[in-house]
Amino acid sequence: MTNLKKVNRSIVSTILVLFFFLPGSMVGAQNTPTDEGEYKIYGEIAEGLVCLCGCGSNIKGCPHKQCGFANPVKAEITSRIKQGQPKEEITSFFINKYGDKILTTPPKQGFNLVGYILPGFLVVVVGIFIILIIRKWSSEGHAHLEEELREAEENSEDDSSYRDQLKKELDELDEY
Amino acid sequence: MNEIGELSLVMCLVMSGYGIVAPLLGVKKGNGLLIRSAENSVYSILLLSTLSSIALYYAFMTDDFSLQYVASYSNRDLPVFYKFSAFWAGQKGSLLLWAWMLAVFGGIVVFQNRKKNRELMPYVIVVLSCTMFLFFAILLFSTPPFELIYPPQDGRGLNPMLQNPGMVFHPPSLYIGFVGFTIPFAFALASLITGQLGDVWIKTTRRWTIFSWFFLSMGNLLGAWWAYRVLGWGGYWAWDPVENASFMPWLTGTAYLHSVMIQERKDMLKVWNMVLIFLTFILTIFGTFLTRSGIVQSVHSFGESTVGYYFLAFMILVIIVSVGMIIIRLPMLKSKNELDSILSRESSFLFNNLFLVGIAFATLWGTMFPAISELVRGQKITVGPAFFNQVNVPIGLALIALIGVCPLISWGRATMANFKRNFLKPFIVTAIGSAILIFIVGTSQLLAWISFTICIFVVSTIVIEFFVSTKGHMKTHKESFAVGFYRNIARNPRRWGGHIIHIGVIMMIIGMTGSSFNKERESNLRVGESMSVGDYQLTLRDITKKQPVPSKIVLEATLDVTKAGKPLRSAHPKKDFYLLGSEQPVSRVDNLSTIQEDLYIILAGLDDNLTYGVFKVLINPLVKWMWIGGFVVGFGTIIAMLPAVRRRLKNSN
Repeated sequence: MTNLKKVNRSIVSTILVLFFFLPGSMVGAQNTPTDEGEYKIYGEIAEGLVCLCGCGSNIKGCPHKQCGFANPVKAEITSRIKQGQPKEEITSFFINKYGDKILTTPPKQGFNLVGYILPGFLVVVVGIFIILIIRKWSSEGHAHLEEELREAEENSEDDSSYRDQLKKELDELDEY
Repeated sequence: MNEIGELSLVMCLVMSGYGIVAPLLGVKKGNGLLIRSAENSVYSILLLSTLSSIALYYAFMTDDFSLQYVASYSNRDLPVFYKFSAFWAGQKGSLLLWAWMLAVFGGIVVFQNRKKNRELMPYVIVVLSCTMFLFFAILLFSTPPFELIYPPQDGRGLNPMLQNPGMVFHPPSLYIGFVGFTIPFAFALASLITGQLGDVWIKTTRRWTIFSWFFLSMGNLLGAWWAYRVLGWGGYWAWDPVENASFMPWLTGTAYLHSVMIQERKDMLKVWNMVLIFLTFILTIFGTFLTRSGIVQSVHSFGESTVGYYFLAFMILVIIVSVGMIIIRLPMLKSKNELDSILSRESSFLFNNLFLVGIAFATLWGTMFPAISELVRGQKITVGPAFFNQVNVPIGLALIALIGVCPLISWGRATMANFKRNFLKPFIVTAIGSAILIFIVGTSQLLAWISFTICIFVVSTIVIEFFVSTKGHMKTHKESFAVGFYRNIARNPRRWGGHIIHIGVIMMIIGMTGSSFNKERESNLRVGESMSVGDYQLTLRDITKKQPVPSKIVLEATLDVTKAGKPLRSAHPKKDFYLLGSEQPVSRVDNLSTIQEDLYIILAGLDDNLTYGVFKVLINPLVKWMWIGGFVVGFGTIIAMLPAVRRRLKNSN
């Protein structure tokens, strides 16, 4: 029984390895440019396109080495670079084919601008609001402080022991 | 055992229901016994959920494939180490782990507070029990871990990508962070309900908050490390929705850790602190909702299920209760104190909060923008890393600069003269450093140059602060530098721990900025052929085939590597073929890592005869700084959690 299991397992192993090797041989044919300059352009284009296999990565970073979507796109990009097509034209080809969803970053136009601008805009607005409110508090506090100072001057007496105590506590506070 | 596990879950649900009702009745009727019994219900949930978890572990260890969950995530060949982590590889086990952690933390909280915070505790128990009720309800009605099937001969095995030490520690670490934030949330809500709005809840939960923040930080970092080592695309952070989901509570939690100091010192920002801790808890639930509802596409998601609805309903309930309670208590939460000056440490903390919450908002906005766009225009779009980098990097740089500015300003009201005096030395160091940087970095990468310059500024302010403070200590107490340095930290570990954390963060920023200088090349090599990337030359020596276990075949390439003609160790990128259960072969990256840069080698493809391979080679500068920075952050957090050392020193003095 154990031997039979072993035989079965080795048959399954062989079939599966063959199954994996066949696609392996296909990726063996490199589908990205070999030239350094072309590879750089390829990288820029492939990083800007989403792999629609469901992995959530871009075409260049798709973790599936035998990806049915990324690999043909890689080959297409490489072939178009070799034909001398400019970067923008190649990207447009894919936008025409798949729509805006193929882009990893939405184009900066129309409603998408809201996406880009809103977070920074809110940070700036809230930042200004914080500055204004602190200034308001600060001036109110300043007026209050001056009033207290005036009162203190009016009721001035020898307070050297309090001053010493205050100095000591402030020193401790500084250490904290 | 399976029946025991399932029955324990039923009992957990009943007991958490009891934990919701009994304290409320106890308070209403003034019955202390009822409240005590509710506390005991938390202990019983701890015991029962432990029993249930043991039952599931037992099933994994004994290869009990009659359980659908075990059959889906384990097999006979799986090493025991990974059988251990297979527990949380899927939806059911990870939710059980979450519930169990919550029960453990609940038990600890009840024990810690058995003699204090007696007015708060009934409501704390109610909040904890509500959360536990949610998880046990899901585990019983939506995704039962003890679901039985007709047992197959062998299981499907664990996804090979999850068979990595990073994945053993990453999810539990994140869960500890997520679950841990339930405790400050419960105390905050309890203080609102009881009207005890002083800083008792803050002091009681301070260590819980830092503890949770620490694990959330480490969980994110371990996730990044795992992605870098295993996913084989050469990066560690892709702004994936699920990554974002764990990043957002980290940001709001960090904001809370800073703003809470203002409440402790000046009795201010009570509403804001409540908002931040509620937001952090809600974002942990939102993250779980995102991961488990199937509404976003992600390599991390657990697929579509009904679990998302439970979390959505719970999230809505939490928002209604939290907002409602804050509105009811608003008059009591209003502070009598105000900030004295724009030039004060308090103000810098406010801006720190603005930037942290701003990044959290931008991240949430970017994550949800595809759905918003579809809703508004009916057109689905993708929001990828470039969007997040463009929106978040400027805010992030401002935030990092603030880390440097903060120690230069004193509490209360700083004078401009004082600020200028403190600013002078770091400014000189930064000016010299940034000038040197132009020669190293060049002018083509302006953003990277700005980032490095800010890093120099921050490090110089912190180091000068350490030095000046230690020198003061040496003078006052007539101590050596080493003793003064130690005592300085030991006297106020919270402050210095914070500074150490900031140094760690800066190291991580240096690592992230290094990615601006990445180089990459992909080549098809036959045995004996070479390729060049930067200063490196790689020559393919051979490709071999091994079968370490019956279910796995490993194809390993050996490359001789030289840098500027000097030989380095040989590289061994691999490709694993799993014969059971897995659909895709997995690339095992080889990484020649130094403090300066990583040479990251991926075996991308092979031919049948093992005579040539496709290699993707990346030079990733400064990546190691990320991981070392992470350790420094961890070390700083531990220092910040050590008040006992300070007290002992005080007593001895």
